[in-house]
Amino acid sequence: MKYWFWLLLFTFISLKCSTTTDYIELPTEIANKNIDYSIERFSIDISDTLAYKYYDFFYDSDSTTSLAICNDHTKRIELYSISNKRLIRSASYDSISLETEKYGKINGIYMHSIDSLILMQKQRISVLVDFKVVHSREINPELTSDKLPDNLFYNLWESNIYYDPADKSLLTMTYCANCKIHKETYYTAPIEGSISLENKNMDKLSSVHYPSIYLGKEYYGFCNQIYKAINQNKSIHSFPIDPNIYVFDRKNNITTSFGGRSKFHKMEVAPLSKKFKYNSEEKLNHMYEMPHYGSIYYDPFRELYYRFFLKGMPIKNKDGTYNTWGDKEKVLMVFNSTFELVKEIDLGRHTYTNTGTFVGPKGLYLSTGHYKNKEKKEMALEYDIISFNF
Amino acid sequence: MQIYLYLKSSHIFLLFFILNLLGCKNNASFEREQEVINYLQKIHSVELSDQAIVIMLQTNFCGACTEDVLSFIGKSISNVRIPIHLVLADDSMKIVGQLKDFEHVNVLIDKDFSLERYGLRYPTDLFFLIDHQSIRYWSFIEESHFKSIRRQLEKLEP
Repeated sequence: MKYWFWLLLFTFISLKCSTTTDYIELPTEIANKNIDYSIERFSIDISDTLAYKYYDFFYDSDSTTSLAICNDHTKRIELYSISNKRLIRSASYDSISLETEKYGKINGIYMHSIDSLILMQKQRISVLVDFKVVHSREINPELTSDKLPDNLFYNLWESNIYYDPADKSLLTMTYCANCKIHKETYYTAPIEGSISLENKNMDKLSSVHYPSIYLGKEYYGFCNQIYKAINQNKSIHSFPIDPNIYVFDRKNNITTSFGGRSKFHKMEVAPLSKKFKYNSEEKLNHMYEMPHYGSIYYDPFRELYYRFFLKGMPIKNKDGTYNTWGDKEKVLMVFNSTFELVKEIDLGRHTYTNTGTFVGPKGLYLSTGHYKNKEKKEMALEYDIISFNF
Repeated sequence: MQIYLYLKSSHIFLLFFILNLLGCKNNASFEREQEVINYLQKIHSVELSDQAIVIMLQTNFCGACTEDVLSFIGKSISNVRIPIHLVLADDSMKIVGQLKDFEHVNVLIDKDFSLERYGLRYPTDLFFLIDHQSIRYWSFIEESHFKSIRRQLEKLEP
């Protein structure tokens, strides 16, 4: 009798402690129609080293493509013509009066046209025409107080920012700066917001937050990046540990989910013990080891979506050497407009990087600037353009 | 729990004292000790027959190799007379420039991402006191450990 009592008590406690989340991985729809692709090497010679996190591109009605880069090595904003393969113009950070001591470093760039840019700093957004500030607005005023705000407009993970012409606002990431990253409150806070260029009263937080897989008792350490693409009034979100893709309709405030599992996703994601919540090394090792759904891009010319998948791998190899983030093998997943999986291309490792990768009229400009790429040219902006043909 | 019944209060005190001493020793052994030794010998051909200090600066890693760390190292190693090997994860000219005044420091710049291959690319800078090819003391170089590292260095001063 006594034995049964303890068994029942143990079962009750186990059930109580188990994770309760309504997360469901959706089935991945496979497209019937296959597509072919071609790869073309493309490069622009440059005169100095590029060290950049923030960049954006723009194409005219005649498909002339330009690229704006915040180069932290030269401390300049550089505008390149992709079509003409040359630097068009540049301006030093100093000449733009960024006042970084007061407003923080550049945290995002949007290229509106060949001569007009929007820059985001921690506490200011500025509209530049011909590299001159014609309009600016302070943001995140709460940062001047002692307590961190619940919701901060800030571009974590060097993501892109977008201008939304519908309400003349800048679409950025937001996060709860006042929440602990291992607590559920961090994951239920809005992850997207819009900063009105004109009136702070028009600033908005969206209702979209992390998917429910992050909301249970499980903890995933550093695997909590948010990757985003924009297709008009839709924000497409992807999260490292979740095969699903989430499409948030900003106009109607509705999220639609799609399955997006890679056929290379063989190792299942394991959570990390919360005892490591302040241990960066354990959190990094966990991130290196786990499979990871990465950056996502929208191709308006072909109505396609591209998503990186990074395969899981052991921390230590059989020969005794170790792996780190840069050793992860990449896969390019291609989805059609209804998020059916059309193609997966194994990109191998040590060649491509998502920093600098963008979509142009010719296709996906896949940056070959991986830091371990032995063929990388230091004085060139180099890409493999992947063009998909129906 | 029964163990307490067999111990007198003085024994308990002694037990706590020993445990406390073990705790103060700071140093659990460095789990990749052999990798550190192999890395220094195979990649940089460093002789580790006697005592040596090894500092690994994780340049280009967010939060590592900060001004605070560089300033701490600069102040702490000036009186040390045993060989000091300072490993930089990359060819950071700014840091090499800051260290040029320390002539007794052997600056080693990592080659072909070997620190990564040897599992020594940590998010925090590392300090090792090596004695005859084994790590006698190690610590992450961060403010909360400055005091402990300084104490180790003071023991080495002439």
